[in-house]
Amino acid sequence: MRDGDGLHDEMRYPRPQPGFRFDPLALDEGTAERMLAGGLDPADAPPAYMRTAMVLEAIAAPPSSDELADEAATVATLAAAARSFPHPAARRRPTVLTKLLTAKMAAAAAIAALSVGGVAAAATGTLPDSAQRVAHQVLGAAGVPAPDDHGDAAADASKAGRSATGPDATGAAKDGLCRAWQAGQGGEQGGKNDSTAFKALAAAAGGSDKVADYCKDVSANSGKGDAANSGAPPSTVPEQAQGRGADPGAGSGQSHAPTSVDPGDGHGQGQAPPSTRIDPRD
Amino acid sequence: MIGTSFEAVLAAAAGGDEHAFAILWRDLQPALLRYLRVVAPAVCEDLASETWLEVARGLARFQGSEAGFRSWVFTVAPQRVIDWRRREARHPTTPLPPEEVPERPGPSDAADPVLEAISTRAALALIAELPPDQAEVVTLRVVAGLDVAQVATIVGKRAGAVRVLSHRGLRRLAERLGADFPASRRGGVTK
Repeated sequence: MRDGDGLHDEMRYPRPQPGFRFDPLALDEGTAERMLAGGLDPADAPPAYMRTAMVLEAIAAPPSSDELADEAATVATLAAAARSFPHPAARRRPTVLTKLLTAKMAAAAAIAALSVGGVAAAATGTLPDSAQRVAHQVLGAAGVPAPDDHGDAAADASKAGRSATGPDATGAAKDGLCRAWQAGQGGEQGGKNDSTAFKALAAAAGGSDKVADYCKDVSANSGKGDAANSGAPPSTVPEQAQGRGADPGAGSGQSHAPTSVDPGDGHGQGQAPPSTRIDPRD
Repeated sequence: MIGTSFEAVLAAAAGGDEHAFAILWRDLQPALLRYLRVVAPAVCEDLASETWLEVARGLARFQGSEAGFRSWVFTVAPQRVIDWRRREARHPTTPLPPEEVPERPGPSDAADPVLEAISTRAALALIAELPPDQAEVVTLRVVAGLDVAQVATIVGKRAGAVRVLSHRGLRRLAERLGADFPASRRGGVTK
């Protein structure tokens, strides 16, 4: 009984044992369930379980700020990953081309995340940890070696996509590419402009000298350069209408070629008007 | 909990909307991190990222309620833990620098009668001292907010076994925290 093997008996019959008045730790199933379901205030717990209830209360306490650190960069990378894996009904069996394109999309998003992080890094001297971690994992998943620093990300991405044509710089990848490109302004531009990703950007812009102009409306649309604020609010429109068309290979029943979208729409949002405004602070 | 807007949030997040994804992330990241802090403290943040990446990739295929979504996230997380343990077994990494290892409160801290303000970290460290199967079940119930049936599915045990494990966990915790503590606030009950 003392070793806990007879727990079922203890649960049902918290009866005195020879030599003991009572098992002070006897706990009926109802009380246990209330403690586990979070419905029992420590003050109402059996005396022997008051501290236990306090510990349970502490592990279910409201989140602290360090548990939600690096939200913007982490979420940006994860949302990009979600975009890269659209609904199976909306996508054919992946071909080598779509796989490469998907990998390139992830890489482009990671470049964007790293570039945005790079600005923070310049200010604080350190890249946000979880952004680096997630970006590393995305890059790894895309067959891209982990970058030692954000400056190499573009070059690494181009290595991974040697045989690819690069991301669709007119579509969903435009934002990320532009931000990555802009983040490199004044820095070492040479290597970056030679990368597949930035060649795609130059092609979309109509020449490498026109990239600055081409990306102007991106930064204007992005407002303060914060990607998290640039998207239209989520809506309840059916998912087919909800802007998966900007993803290569994601168009409903379309070919695997990158879908050309209106150059003005780089956010991957649908054309349908948002019907529900969702406040993230609800 | 996200509540009534969950479906809309999920659909938008699956489409890659950062706004919507942030809502999902904020809702579950703390619980996910706490769960992993109990079962794999040394790598909890890495495994949380891995879990989220897998969730992001599978989001468009997920169908279900908010409770189902929670369940799914906490099904992915233990798989990431198992994968990590396998990787570890094959290629053991060097021990982590001390700052990566969460501080464990000494017995004197934990047994302090004035337990009014125990921190979440210290409390998680106490849970982590339980036998692993008890710790996991208690954490999934309390931190992840899952019911017995959901936890049973996740850990691959029957509901009765989950109840017994969590019951033992509570009992052991009470033993650990001291059964001989002084009069409670309820008015001098001394066993």
